[in-house]
Formats: sequence, C-alpha cells, structure tokens
Amino acid sequence: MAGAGGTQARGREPLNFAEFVRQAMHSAVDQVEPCADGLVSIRARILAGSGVPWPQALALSLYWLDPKRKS
Amino acid sequence: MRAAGRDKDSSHDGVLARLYQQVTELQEPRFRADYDLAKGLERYRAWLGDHAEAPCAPDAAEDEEATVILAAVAVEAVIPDAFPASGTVRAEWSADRAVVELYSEHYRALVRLAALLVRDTPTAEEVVQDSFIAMHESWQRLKDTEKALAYLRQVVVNRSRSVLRHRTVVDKNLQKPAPDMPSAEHGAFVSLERSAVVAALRDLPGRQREAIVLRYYADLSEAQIATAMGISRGAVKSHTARGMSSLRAALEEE
Repeated sequence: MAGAGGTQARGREPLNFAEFVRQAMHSAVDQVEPCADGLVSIRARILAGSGVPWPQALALSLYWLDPKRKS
Repeated sequence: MRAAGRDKDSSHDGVLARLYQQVTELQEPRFRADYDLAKGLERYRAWLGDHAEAPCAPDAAEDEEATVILAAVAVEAVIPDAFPASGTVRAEWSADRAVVELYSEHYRALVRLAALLVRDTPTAEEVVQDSFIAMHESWQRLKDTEKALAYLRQVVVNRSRSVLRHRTVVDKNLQKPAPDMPSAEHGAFVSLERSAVVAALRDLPGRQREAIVLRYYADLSEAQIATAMGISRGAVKSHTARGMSSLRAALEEE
C-alpha cells in the first residue's frame, strides 16, 4: 500500500507513524453512529434492575425522555 | 366495581404518598417545595394514553399499575431539568443525572472506542450500555464525573475483553463458514474492516490492541490508560511500544 504502514505518504513528507495510526483509527471509526435510543435502553435496564417489569420500565423510560412530556 | 376502583385508587394514593416522601427527601428543598405530584401523575397518565398503541405501553388495568405509577413519580421527581444549571453542583448529582450528562457528553465516543475493541457496533453499544448501568450502581461511591468517566472506560475495556473471550469460545465451537458467506460480525463491521490499520489491530494481542486504541484513538495519558486497563504505567508503555512495532511490521508486509 502507498506509504505502507503510513510511514510515507506518496509525494509528501514522511508521516509520523503514530499520527498515521491515530488518523486511520479516527477515519475508520468516526463513521460509527450509535442508535439514537441508547439512553432509553440504559434507563429502562436500570429501572428493570430495580424490580420494575420490563414493559413498564421501557414505557417509563420513553416517557421520561420524551421532550413533549411536559406539554 | 366502582367501590373496587375507589379501593384501588386509595391504595395507590397511600403508595404514592410514601414514595413521594422517599423521593423528595433525596432532593434539594427548593425542588421539594415546587414539585406538584398530582400534575406529574396527570402528565404521565395523559402520556400513557397518547401512547397506548405503542407495543411497550403497559395495560392500565394490569395489577402492576401501582408499580408503574410509583416508578413514574420517582422518575418525574428526579428529572434533570428540575435541578440548577449544569456545572453548579456536579458532585451532588444524582446517579440518574450523572447518567444523562455523561451519556450526552461521552456515549458516542465510548461506543466508537468499544467498536475498535470488539469490532462490532451493536455489541459495542451493549458494552457501553452495560458500563453506564454499572456506573449508575456505583455512583454513590464515585460521586464525581471525572472518576465516573474513568470508571466507564474501565468497564468498557473489561466488558470488551469478556466479549472477545466469549467470541473465541463460540468461534471454536462453530463450523467455519464457507468463503462466500460473510460472518455476522464481518457484515456489521465491514466498512471498518476496510481500514488496513483496523484490520491489523485485530491480529494484535488484546492488551497491545487496548493500549494502542486508548492511547491513539482516545488520546488518554499513560496514567489514564493504566487505570482503564488495570495495569501499571510501565506495562502500558511496554504494550504500546510492542503493539506499535507489530502494527508497523504488519502494515509494511502488505
């Protein structure tokens, strides 16, 4: 690969290997987008862990995080 | 029927009164005085009515209604926007508030960090959610967002290790898929695997991979990495140096 291991980019100054690794990891993983409902899931699992039945825990978590809750 | 309903309401009122007391005792006096229990319940019931079609909406006739309402009051009473503006009482946050704040600031970055470790986004999310739940349970001990963040990273690293160990065992017991049949893991993470660096990271020993990801992706100091991995700073240096050397060799071979 060009500049294999990223030590040298074609036509450019040698690239610091650590910087190359950093950039490569960021460009690979920065496209990973978590689902939007992570907090609902965390909240529901916390409630379920405290003894609230799962459907209610999920409903409560959705309610708790609903921006229209107070309207 | 009506009498039964009245009994049930009366029983709920008793439960609610007790719960209200328990919950509000945990909150600051200003909030305690302002909280309107009846309106809070009304809002929750109306919301449930509006979402009755949702698959998760509980049946109002269920025996657990008291539990639902009870929990609703608890949830209402600890909503983050009932507290002063951010930054004023960080050390006194409730566990719920800490989860919300740390989630909004760090969830995405932690999922990406975990994705580099476990190479699968849904699993990475599960690992990070587990770590938030563990942090919620430990908040009374942590009581500080910096400590909580360090704790979250530590749990993410530990859970990721467990996932990889479990995956190794499962893979050993499964028949190797045909070459044209991509594994679920590969399918979920195909775009990431296109990166030569990420692919090479996969072949490194676990500790070396963790040290490199924490150092060069998360930009943590040696001390922070040592805490997250549960090893000494000297060991962090060693794992990082060996890992980088192997990574360079692997990439230059290509």
